[in-house]
Amino acid sequence: MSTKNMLSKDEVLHLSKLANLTLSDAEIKKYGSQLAETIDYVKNLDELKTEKVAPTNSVVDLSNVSFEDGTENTRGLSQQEALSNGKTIVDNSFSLGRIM
Amino acid sequence: MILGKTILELKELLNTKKISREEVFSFFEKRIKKYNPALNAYLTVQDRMGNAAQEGPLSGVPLAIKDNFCTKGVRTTASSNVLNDFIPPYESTVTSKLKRAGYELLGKTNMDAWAHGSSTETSDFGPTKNPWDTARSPGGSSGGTAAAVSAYLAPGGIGSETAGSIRQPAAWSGIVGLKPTYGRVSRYGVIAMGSSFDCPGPMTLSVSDAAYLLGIIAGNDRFDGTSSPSPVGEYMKDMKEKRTFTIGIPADYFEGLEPGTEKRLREAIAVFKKSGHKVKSISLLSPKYSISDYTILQRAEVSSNLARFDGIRYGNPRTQFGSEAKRRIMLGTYTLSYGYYDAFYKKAQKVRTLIINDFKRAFKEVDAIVAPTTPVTALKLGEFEKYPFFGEMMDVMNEPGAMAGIPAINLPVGLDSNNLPVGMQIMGNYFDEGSILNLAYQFEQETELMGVIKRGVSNLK
Repeated sequence: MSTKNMLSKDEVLHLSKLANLTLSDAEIKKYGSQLAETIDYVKNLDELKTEKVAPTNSVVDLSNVSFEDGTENTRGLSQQEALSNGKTIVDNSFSLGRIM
Repeated sequence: MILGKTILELKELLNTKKISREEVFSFFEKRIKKYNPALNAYLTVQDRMGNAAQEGPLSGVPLAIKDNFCTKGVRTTASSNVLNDFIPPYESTVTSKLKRAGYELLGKTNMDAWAHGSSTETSDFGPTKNPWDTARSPGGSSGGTAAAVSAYLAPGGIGSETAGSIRQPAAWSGIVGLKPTYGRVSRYGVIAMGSSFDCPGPMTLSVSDAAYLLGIIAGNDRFDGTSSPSPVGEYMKDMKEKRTFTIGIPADYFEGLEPGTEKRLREAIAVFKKSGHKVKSISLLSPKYSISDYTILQRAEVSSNLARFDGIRYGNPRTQFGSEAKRRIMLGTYTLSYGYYDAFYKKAQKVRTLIINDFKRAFKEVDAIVAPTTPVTALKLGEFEKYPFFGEMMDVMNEPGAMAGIPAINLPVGLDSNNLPVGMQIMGNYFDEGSILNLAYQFEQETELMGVIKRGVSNLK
């Protein structure tokens, strides 16, 4: 794992874009140093040898679970319920800003 | 007559018609009105009965529910401004089961926003105060439920734990808190924090109440693909069987304890010995690795889980996220992003395997592992800022078990010199809640140490 004392402004902005978060200049600076500090801390995992260890997928050894075909849908929401918490409902639809 | 009664005691009074359901509900309603403004344990309070879906074993018993469980028609915020007006159109499995058992909802309790924290201070609606000392934190993230139960603003409640969020506030508030095995209780309808860790569980005034509520909320759920088909035990019955245990004491978990905490823990271990249990020291992987491992995996899951909050279908825009949520999303985005995935996320999942194997090895030697729940008793509100990695430091003894997904229970084992409750945890093997409840029940019967709980109930008068 690589270490840096501070993430650059560009790195922080790249992350915030991926995460769809808007950050102030103060936050960019703050997170830049806090993230670097945390990344530095978690490096101690390198002390543990894991070359021959399989990564954990489920702590209780469950594998894929799926519904049988034809299972009755008992948890679907009505259109009214699905829209009930939306703030920009137009004609029974979510109205969004233009994407392209 | 009602003050301090456990769930099972209230049931008995109701069943023998010594009190009515209305009297019970109105008792708590009045108490909440009187004390909640000072404690801020509840964010939303129900002013009338009528929540039950049918008659059942909990008919007339009111409970406090952490505000990350979706309750149909009742505001559910996860203590974040993103969801400050969210009215769920569906019910979580845990609360559905409680409704079918006939419970009454008293209200939804405060928590760290999105369950990110160990003090309730990251709540967008102000911190909850500890009933033992209102200048202190009740712990978190299930601090609202912990304070409500401790101050008897509810006879019991439901919390959720990702790593410590049931056990740590139970320890700091002086009550019983049970984190079940991962998959034992459905996560459906619980606002997700770390999906591979999250466990709903009971927070109560007695071991029996915890066993009783677990019996109601546990079980396989087809709406949660990670819930386990492993059969649910008869906890109430199994708990009372006289058994002798081999108890493991991990040395690393006793380093850096406050003297008051260490003293109480040693006393509690002496109680186990006196009761005829075999106590032996064991070695476990140092909890310090769990802090790093947990930090990587949980942040990754947080960034993914919180991505769904886009303010379109429900809730407010992402600009409403508080600073702790943003910090966690950013770190998770970093460790999952191209070029870093193998170094961080994949490495952490491998270390998680080591932690799991470590516990599996230990449980070949012992039936239960006993350790402190927290290194210190309740801190003052605001003190947390002095501790970098505060949540991780406070949950250092809870994270290994949470990483592995094993069950554990917090028991109050007396007070320290500041008159604050000290918590001890008993960890058990996968799906062996029966054993830790059995040992906890024996402990409760055999010592006066848990008299702390009754004292806590009378803290506010």
